[in-house]
This record gives sequence, structure tokens and C-alpha cells, in this order.
Amino acid sequence: MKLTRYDEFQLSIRHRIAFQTMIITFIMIMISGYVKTFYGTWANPMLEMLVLIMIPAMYFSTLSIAKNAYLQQKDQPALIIILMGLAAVLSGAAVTSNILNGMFTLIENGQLSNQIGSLLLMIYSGGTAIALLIRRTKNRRMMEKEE
Amino acid sequence: MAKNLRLKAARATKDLSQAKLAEAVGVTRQTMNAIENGDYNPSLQLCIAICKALDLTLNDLFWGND
Repeated sequence: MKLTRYDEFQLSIRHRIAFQTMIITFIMIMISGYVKTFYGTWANPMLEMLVLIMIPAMYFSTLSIAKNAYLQQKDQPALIIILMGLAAVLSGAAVTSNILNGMFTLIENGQLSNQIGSLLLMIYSGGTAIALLIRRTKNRRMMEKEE
Repeated sequence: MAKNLRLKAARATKDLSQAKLAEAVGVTRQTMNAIENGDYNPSLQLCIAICKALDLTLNDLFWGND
């Protein structure tokens, strides 16, 4: 069998998780529609896009990392962990700085504030980096146990 | 699904680790682990590849009575 990006087991897992992600996306779009209809605009368009994309994306990436179906056939490369960690630290620094200066607000004029963007990025990249690290550690332990 | 102990035994006879066998057939070690533990039912193509790598038949590894 030729070496492909994902093997058949990984593909079946990814397809299942992708389907669940699609359902979550539908639900989020529905909720967004209802909130806009009965309450009004809950965020500016770009932020709305970010939220609607990031939450399902985080679901997909976290679950596929947990099931060993992420980042090709190799065990997770260290570079991705480092890059994600760096993104988490940088966005975390921005959020922390805003909080310390008393400038961080979640809701502004009845809508989600634009500062949520950095917070979401921090959660996404930090969560992914942690999930990758945990998976890497578990894989190593499994290998040692087998040997 | 039941564990595939025949596969594990055949791999041990050839002195192959899960990682080495997985590499030989073009899957990840985790997939090979899932097959041995009965957590995943491999496709016929993958079954044939595993048999070729272990120099055994489908009957020896996947079919027939336990």
C-alpha cells in the first residue's frame, strides 16, 4: 500500500468528525439567525464569521487530534506544537495586557466586543497545542508499553 | 469486535513491532494497534497488505475460526 497523507482508519475518523462538525455549524448558524431575528445583531460581521468558524474548527481539530487523525500519518511534528504555542502566548499576552489595563470588555453596546477575537485565537491555538502535547505524550507511552 | 490475537502472534513470530509492521503496510502504528485490539475492521486491501508483509494468508490472520 502506498503511503498516503492519512490511512483508511484516520480517514474514517476524520469523516465522522467532519460530519459532526457540519451539524454543529448548522446549529450555530441557526442559533445566530434566531438571536439576530429576536434580539438583534450580536456581533459585527467579521467577528460573527470568526466565532462561527472557530468553534466548529476547534471541535474538529481537538477531536481529530485526540483520535490520532490529525497532521498526516506521522506523530505530530514539534514545529506545529511550537507555532501553536507561540500563537497562544502572543494572543494571551494581548488579552492579559488589555485585562490589566482595564480595557478588556466582552460585551460592548449590546454586542460582542472585537477584543473577543484575541481571546478566541488564544483559546484555539492554546487548546490545539495542549491537545497535541497530550497526544504526543500518550503515543510515546503507548510505544514504550508495547516495547 | 474481538481482538485479533492471531495477528499479534504472527507479528511476534516475525519479531516485528507494531510500528515496523505499520510502516511496512503504509498505515500508522495507532491504526495497527486498533486492528489488533479489534477496534477497527480493516479493508480487504489493507488485510492483503498485512498478509503479504507477514507472509501469511487471509485465512491465517483474519478469516476462519478462532
